Amino acid sequence: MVSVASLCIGRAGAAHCFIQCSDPPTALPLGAMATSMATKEELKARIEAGIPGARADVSGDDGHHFEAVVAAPAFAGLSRIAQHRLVYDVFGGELGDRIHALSLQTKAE
Amino acid sequence: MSDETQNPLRDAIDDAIRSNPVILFMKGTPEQPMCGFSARTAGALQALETSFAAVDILPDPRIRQELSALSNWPTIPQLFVNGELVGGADIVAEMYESGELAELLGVEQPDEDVPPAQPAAAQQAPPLSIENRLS
Repeated sequence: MVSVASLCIGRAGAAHCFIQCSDPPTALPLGAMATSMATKEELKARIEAGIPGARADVSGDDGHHFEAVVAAPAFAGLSRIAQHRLVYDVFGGELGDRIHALSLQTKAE
Repeated sequence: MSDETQNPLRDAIDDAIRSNPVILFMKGTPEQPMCGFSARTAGALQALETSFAAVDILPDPRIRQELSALSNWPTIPQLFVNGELVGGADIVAEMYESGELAELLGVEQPDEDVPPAQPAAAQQAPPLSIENRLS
């Protein structure tokens, strides 16, 4: 049994509090993954390892919210959507979960 | 996962994307956004004084789930124009700044000095009501 969901325009939310901005669609079986906090150094290393030739500038010190500026030759000729997907793909299901929010700016070089 | 072939919610989302030229999936509503990223994205659309449909994904986690499965995009908000995913908060912000968003939507870019997201400029889109009677 599930409740009726209606997608409505202009339906007012109940609360003012800012809640999670990118919670995952489902709880992931994270195990050990969830125990260590993400760092900007880790994100930088993983982006640069995951996308050939990429250079990433990552900021964010709270362990959850990060901003990354990523330049890579692989972005050439790709739409912004496709460029961002390449970066998202590096993190898979961690995005929105362990890595709560990743603000992205991508540049082809 | 078990009912790939019968997914009324996904069909409803798909239909909403196809039948609304500009549609924003967000947390909360344009009037009462529940997340800074959603607020910024709705604000950009409001600053352009364009009318758009907005869907609050919060009432049911499955909306988010099905939307992301459909769009292959992990985060919220998601803006679609003419049935195509334009992007999330970062891309929309970049496109707003550069004037590309105004161009895409066929509207005038507001003066630089005017701060975006004046609530008075918010357009009331016609009610979009997708009833999902899943039981």
